[in-house]
Amino acid sequence: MNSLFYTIGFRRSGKPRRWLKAVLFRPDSTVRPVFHRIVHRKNGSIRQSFSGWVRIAAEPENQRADDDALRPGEIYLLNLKPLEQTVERWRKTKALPALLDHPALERALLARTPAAHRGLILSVSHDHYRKNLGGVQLCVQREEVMAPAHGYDYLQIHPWQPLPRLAHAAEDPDVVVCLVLNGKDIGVCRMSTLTQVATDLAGKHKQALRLVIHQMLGHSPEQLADLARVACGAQCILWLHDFFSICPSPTLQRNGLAFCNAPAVTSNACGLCVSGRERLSHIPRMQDFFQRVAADVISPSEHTAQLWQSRSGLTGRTMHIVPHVQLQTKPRSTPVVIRPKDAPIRVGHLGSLDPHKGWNTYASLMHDLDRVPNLEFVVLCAKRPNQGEDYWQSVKVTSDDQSAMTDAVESQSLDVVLNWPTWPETFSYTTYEALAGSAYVITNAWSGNVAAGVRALQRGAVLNDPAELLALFRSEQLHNLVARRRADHASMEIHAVHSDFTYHILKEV
Amino acid sequence: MAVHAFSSFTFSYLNRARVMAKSLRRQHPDWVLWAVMTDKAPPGFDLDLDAEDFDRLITAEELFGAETDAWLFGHDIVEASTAVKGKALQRILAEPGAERVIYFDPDIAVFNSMDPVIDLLDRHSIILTPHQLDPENARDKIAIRDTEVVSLLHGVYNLGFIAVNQSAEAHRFAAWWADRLHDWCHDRKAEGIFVDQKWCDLIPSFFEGVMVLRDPGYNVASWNLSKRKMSYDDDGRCLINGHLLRFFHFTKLGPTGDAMTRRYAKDNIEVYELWWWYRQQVAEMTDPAIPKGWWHYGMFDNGVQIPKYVRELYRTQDSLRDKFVTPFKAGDNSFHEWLKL
Repeated sequence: MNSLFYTIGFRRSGKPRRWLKAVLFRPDSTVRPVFHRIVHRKNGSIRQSFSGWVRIAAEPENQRADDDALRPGEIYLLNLKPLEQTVERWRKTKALPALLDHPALERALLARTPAAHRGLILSVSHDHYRKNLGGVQLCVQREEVMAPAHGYDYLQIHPWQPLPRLAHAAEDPDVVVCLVLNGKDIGVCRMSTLTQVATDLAGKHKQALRLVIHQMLGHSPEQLADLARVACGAQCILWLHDFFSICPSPTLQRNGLAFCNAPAVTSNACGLCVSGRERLSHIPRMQDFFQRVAADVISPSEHTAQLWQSRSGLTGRTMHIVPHVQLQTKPRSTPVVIRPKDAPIRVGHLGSLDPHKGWNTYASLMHDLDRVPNLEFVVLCAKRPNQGEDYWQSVKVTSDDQSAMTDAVESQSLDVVLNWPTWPETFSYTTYEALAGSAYVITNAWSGNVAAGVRALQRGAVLNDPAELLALFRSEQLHNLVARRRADHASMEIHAVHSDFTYHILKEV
Repeated sequence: MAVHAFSSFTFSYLNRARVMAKSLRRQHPDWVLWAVMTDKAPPGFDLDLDAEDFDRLITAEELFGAETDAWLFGHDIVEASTAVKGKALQRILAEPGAERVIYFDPDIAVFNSMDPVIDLLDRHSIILTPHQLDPENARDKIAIRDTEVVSLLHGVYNLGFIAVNQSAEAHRFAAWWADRLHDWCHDRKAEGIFVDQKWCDLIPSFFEGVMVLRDPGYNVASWNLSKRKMSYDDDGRCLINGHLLRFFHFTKLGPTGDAMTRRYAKDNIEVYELWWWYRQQVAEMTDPAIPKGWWHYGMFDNGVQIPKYVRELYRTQDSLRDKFVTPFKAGDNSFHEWLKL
């Protein structure tokens, strides 16, 4: 939505101004026909800009809207579909491209430059890591870029048909995958073809193949186990970027709204969750994978390793903790401009606008603090949210511009970043980006590695519930926190040291 | 311990009844489940009991025999579906081996074991769940009107659930209830009568061994959400005010139910999730062969809908009942013709 239209159409609290209400609603609060054209997308879901206040009943003939803002969870549930309906919505309608056969794929993989004597990483994840943004994609990008220095070529494998779950054999027993070799697309083939070629690479051509699994969404774990067994000595390295090995909901969100802690699949929580039915088959398939393949598991944080070991029921051969980034503080060598004491407090949200990343809490805070002076809400992300924020800057982090977010945090002079996830983040790049940009981070006690990072550096606050969050923002506590942050910023600088990712353990395992 | 459970519904509520039966079967695979059907199947639909989670089917005709049509004509769909409960209870209590009998409304879903109720029936003859367990705040007039006043009008106890044993007292209750529901199961709130439910305000006065179940995990619904908070524990068990959620009553699926949920569940998002689940379940169990709102007894045999006032007229006028003994028939010399509809 045009930001000017949003500004003149909506109050800062997110509620519509009187003139807009008159355009969209009749006096009895039923909707005018123009309402649907403005508020709904073609697929029927509500445009995000209107989601803060619109209520739409399930049946179109009963649609009403009133002054009560819908709770973010309600809006989410209005748009939530059963998992298999989401699968159908994701189905590609275009025809499969021509598939690489065995000879063609073998030629492509043997023709790697500069020399075919290098080892080959077979990196499995869920999408094209160079076309999509996200933490997992960034890890894969960095790993691919670092591969030559460690003596490897890098073949990324992602499903041609993306899915919000594992692939089902009944849909297609031989998953079609896209291949990206050293950053370049080389084609599409069936997993069986890749497995046969990989077998030849390892056997006939004596190449060292290492299977690294970042994400299994859309894949067949049975076929990945076959690949591991025939080409990689029945071993793999498996990253715990999330908890997909435990549940089809990678962030363990019950109905996308609340952290569930992975209870038994027979529990009420699983039975009432959109992912529950799929989890019934998901768990045995993962158990089977871990029995067939010796997995060296890498966790980006201690907290994640502990949670996975206690809730998954799965056992890897080894467990390693390899944080993606570590921060080092040191006194500033050059002075920086300090914001004046009475300068507005800048409160940031970084990255994804998904509920599990804390966007709903940020948006609610923004609306609740509508009339509090001296607060500015700054959102740094790819797509403008238009939900009452004061400023927005487009930021995309890629392996070519790894510090884009950190630089934006610094240039926008963010005082605090609110990072209020609904799940225990396994790592949270945005937290480290915020801290590296000299902002403090405010988070909750169940945020996993976010809270761990804030506590370790003592740069921010870890709170117990949303009531405490609101109380912080309405009190002198926030001003004290910001004063401390600005003083720290003046005297200390923070450097981010990136890890070697999988290569950190590759020689050991 | 042979436990029999039954539910009373029409084909338009078969989807909900299926959700209820499936949820109950999951908790109690050994119970005998009865469907009490006050309806006839629409054209093109056959109810295959072998494919359902119900074990037994009993119809209004089987319960009321020759008087069924004339008697049902005087009842709307809610009145009819509830009026059969007393006689159905008697019938099932007479079933050899039935030691405990429990009624569930079709729009209920069971989430955890009902064994505590079975145990309570060792010591009590009749178990009831009140609509509310806690009074509203004196200043919250809207809530008082929505909950306590509604209970005063519609009945203190919600008869979407009742549990009885095989005691003499339970049999005496079933006989009394069947009698009252035969003649007085109507929506006449101005006279203090509301179908089967308001009669049960008298149960604690008339009968011994009555227990009012005060565990908030039973019969959770929009009328008591203001005082009941839903949560999950670390093992994924669903709790209501810290007690295990036994069953939830999904009354008024649609805008009215949504409005009540929003008003009283407020930020308790778990309740909204529960409703989302229920909508999906009902959608999955909906058979497209059953027209929306279908009820065989809702129309004359020429397909004309029967207005409520016509039913009231018929049931209050002896002369009409004497003259038109097959009131659903249309055509020459019929009640329909007499009405000039």
